[in-house]
Amino acid sequence: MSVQRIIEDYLGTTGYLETPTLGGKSKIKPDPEAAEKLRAQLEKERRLIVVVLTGFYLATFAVGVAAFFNLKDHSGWFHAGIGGSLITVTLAFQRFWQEKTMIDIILQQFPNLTPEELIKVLGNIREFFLKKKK
Amino acid sequence: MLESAIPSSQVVSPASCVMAFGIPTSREEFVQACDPSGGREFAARNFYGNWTRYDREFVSLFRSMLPSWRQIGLQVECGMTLQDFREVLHSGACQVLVVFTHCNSEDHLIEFFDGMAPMTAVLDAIPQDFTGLIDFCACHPPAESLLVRIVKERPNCLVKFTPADLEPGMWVRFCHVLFLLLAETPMTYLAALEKTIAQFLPLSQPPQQTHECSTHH
Repeated sequence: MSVQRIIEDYLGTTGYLETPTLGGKSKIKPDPEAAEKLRAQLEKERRLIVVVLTGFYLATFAVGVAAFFNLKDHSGWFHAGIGGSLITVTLAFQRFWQEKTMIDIILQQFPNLTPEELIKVLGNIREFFLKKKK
Repeated sequence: MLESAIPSSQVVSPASCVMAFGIPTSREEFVQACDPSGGREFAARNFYGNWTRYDREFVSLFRSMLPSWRQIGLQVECGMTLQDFREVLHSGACQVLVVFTHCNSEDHLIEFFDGMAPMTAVLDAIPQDFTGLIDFCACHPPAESLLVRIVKERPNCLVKFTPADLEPGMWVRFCHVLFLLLAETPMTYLAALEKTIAQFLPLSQPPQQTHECSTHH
């Protein structure tokens, strides 16, 4: 599950994602239980990303070393092609690294935030994801 | 002459209407509205100080409509205080005042730029002899007490409210269509409302529940 999805699930639980109306009460209800669930989900997601990324980078390194020794007699263009492909694949995984960084920031702030502040911070982070998608 | 004094029969143009906003319409106003010392509610409690979201859901729409409102002569009052509300009604220059703001129906308060005002203060701000129409784009059923009192104590004033949840983005679009219609063809405000509701009905249900409290002349 992506970090955006995890954050939106939490914000949805608190009522933050409902469109505010001009009359009546605020629909937002900070929920400490949901916040704890969110923390557990984020920690799980972070572990998964670390495992997947570490495995991937090791595999990429192994492929690079193998390619170096096995294909060193080929032309320079061929080497450039192989190297370029590996770099492209590595860049594609940048998103996961960005997500991990985001999780690190959220979890670092977690103990210092009230449930209200947590909603505010996560609401802003969600805007970051929405802006990036545009 | 008697006919034209009845608010529901007055043909209006956007130039004789005032659209006044008690909720923030710019970033500066939003920041002020979120200051806890101001005691204001809408931006702080519903958006938790998230300007980006507030801008996306309401202000950007408002800003895109503002030039065309100015072009058709509609008077737009941003950052309306209770005193502004009083002055607009006392000026005698407006036939229709649209109050676009937040209503706390539990504590019977209406949001103005300078804070939450009790319903009684709002009632007191309406001149005894006001013969126009006040359209509260804010109210919810519990606020009916104010409306009933306006009807009783300001017999020449017509007041309109909607006992449903109003989303600011949706409602600002509704007002936009309504005023463009009035600019195109001068007609009574109520007739314009009916036509606008007819346009919006396939899209959304809330305008269908619009109620009007009026006095009998």
